[in-house]
Amino acid sequence: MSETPILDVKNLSKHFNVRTGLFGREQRTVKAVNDLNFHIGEGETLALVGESGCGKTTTTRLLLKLQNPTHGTVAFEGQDVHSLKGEGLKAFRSRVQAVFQDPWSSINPRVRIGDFVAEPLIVNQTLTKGEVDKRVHAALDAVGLRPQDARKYPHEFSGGQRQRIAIASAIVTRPRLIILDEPVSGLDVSIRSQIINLFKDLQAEYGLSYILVAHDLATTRYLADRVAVMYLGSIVEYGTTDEIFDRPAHPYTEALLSAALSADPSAQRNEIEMNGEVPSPLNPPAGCAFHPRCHRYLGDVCQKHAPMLTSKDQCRLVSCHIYKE
Amino acid sequence: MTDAPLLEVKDLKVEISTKAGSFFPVNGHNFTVNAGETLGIVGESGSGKSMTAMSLVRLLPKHAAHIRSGSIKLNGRDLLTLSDKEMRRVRGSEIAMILQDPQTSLNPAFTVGDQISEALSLHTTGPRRTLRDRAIDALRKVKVAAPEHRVDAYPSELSGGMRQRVVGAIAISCQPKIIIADEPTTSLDVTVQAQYLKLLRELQEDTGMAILFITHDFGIVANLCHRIVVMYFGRIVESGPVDKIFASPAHPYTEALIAAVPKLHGQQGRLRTIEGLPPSPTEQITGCPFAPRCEHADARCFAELPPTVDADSDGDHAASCWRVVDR
Repeated sequence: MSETPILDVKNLSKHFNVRTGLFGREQRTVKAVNDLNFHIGEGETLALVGESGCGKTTTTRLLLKLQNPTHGTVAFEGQDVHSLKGEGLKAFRSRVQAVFQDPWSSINPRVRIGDFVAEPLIVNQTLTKGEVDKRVHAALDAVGLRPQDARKYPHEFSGGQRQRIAIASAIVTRPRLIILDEPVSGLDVSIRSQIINLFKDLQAEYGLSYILVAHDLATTRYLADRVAVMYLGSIVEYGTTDEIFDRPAHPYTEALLSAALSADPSAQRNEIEMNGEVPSPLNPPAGCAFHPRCHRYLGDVCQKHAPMLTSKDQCRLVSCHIYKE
Repeated sequence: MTDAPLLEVKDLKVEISTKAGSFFPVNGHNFTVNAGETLGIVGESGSGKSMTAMSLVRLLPKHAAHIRSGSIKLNGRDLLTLSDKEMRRVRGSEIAMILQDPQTSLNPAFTVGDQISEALSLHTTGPRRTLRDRAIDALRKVKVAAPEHRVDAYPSELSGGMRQRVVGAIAISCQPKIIIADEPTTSLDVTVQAQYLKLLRELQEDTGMAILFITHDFGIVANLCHRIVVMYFGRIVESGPVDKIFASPAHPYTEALIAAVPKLHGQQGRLRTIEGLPPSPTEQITGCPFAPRCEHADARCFAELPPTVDADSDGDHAASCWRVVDR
């Protein structure tokens, strides 16, 4: 893909201070996102996968500048996102958009579809009424809705069509990057494939880049070019989709993939059972955060030293002690 | 499996009356579940999956929904002929349910132990002391670690997966013959889901109970179910053993649904889509309800509802489609 990344994330961390204990006398830090590094090229899709609480959502909020990081930088088209103000910020807002899981709660029920789709244009750009209408119709057309739908209200649409409306409002500003946060999990199977295909078509047509957050691993495999596997706020494995799905290197990736169910009764699943559940981020295990659940636990080294994210081969980074030598 | 099925549903019809008109979310269901078997009910939202489950335990909303015809035989006894009091005795002890969201099916103000004991006390007699022990036993069966301590925990102190295990413990506490599970893993992480499905399989092996599993996820179907029925617009359009349906789906809807799911492994081209939308429940349809979205539909499909016929000579795979009738 292109040499200059659209989005370049360096050492990104977000720590929250929480008060616990009786009357909140004890102060602790939750490292929701810890030292993330990744970049996305033009027309590329990066997926963030992991169990709930691994920091996927916090990451997307940092990328959208809905929250400010504790450390690190997010550079979009070479500019530091978190120092943007005024016009620069408006430009950023129209260049980076998001589509969320629930099309029932992300659309204002009392606003006509046309006005809803036009809103990001009116807020972030100065266009004449005629230009706005033209862009809205083009966006509706691109997602497979008709121009006359612009006059309708959200309740007149089904869930799948509502997700199309949400996508139309995301692409109307002609963004370069769209953050997809569980974009198809609320949809029925037959509708889901329509929307997944739509994402692919839009990407091919406009050269869009996507950051995908999805718990459905089959959807991830289908849409993503590269995958970052997250565990307790950190990336534990990062590489191309095929590499990661066909030859997972980190024990956590192995276990996560073994839990995914293939829609094929003859498929053999090699089941790896993880011990227990995700530990509390308030009190993460020492050393490698995954060691209490790991099926490849090596002993002392895992308990005492946190492994570094190092390259295993050309197309992959892994943070695990088994690849030391 | 044995000859007489554990649960036998025949020509079940449920009518819902609304101001906008009346319709049948369950329209002439015929299916059986054997002991020790898992039957999957697959369909999209609005296809009538949950209404089917609710009618089996007779928990339909009284003012709006009515069972118009059919029979639901559990061990040969028709549940539709029972009085409300008799039905209450069946629920929990013979048929148990696990619902989608453990958050809402558990009461936040009572401990886990209290909620398991409540189910037990309704169906068994005995001193409070043994109730508590049996609640701990039930928690142990669903693999909750340290059940002696967890029995006194409130739902808010447990994780989502743990809570769904507690709901499972309530369901199995009275040793039901059949458990109806309505999308029990939808709110869980894949890893927790895999653990939960494994637990259900193990419980089934130990107790020989039957499971009626309602889902829209073909991954779960392929991994858990022995047989499935596919629903569309209140009707069963195809039924049969899971490997047969995946290998050679007879109904175009089933075929398209399976092809629409992204695969985890192997090469994949563009995903298959099913154009259009399912009909609205109140719509009046004379022909096959899938005809408007079906790529093989002809004039007869729009005019006449196809009968349910065998899809092969083994007699365990049936579909409701004119193309199968003509075969």
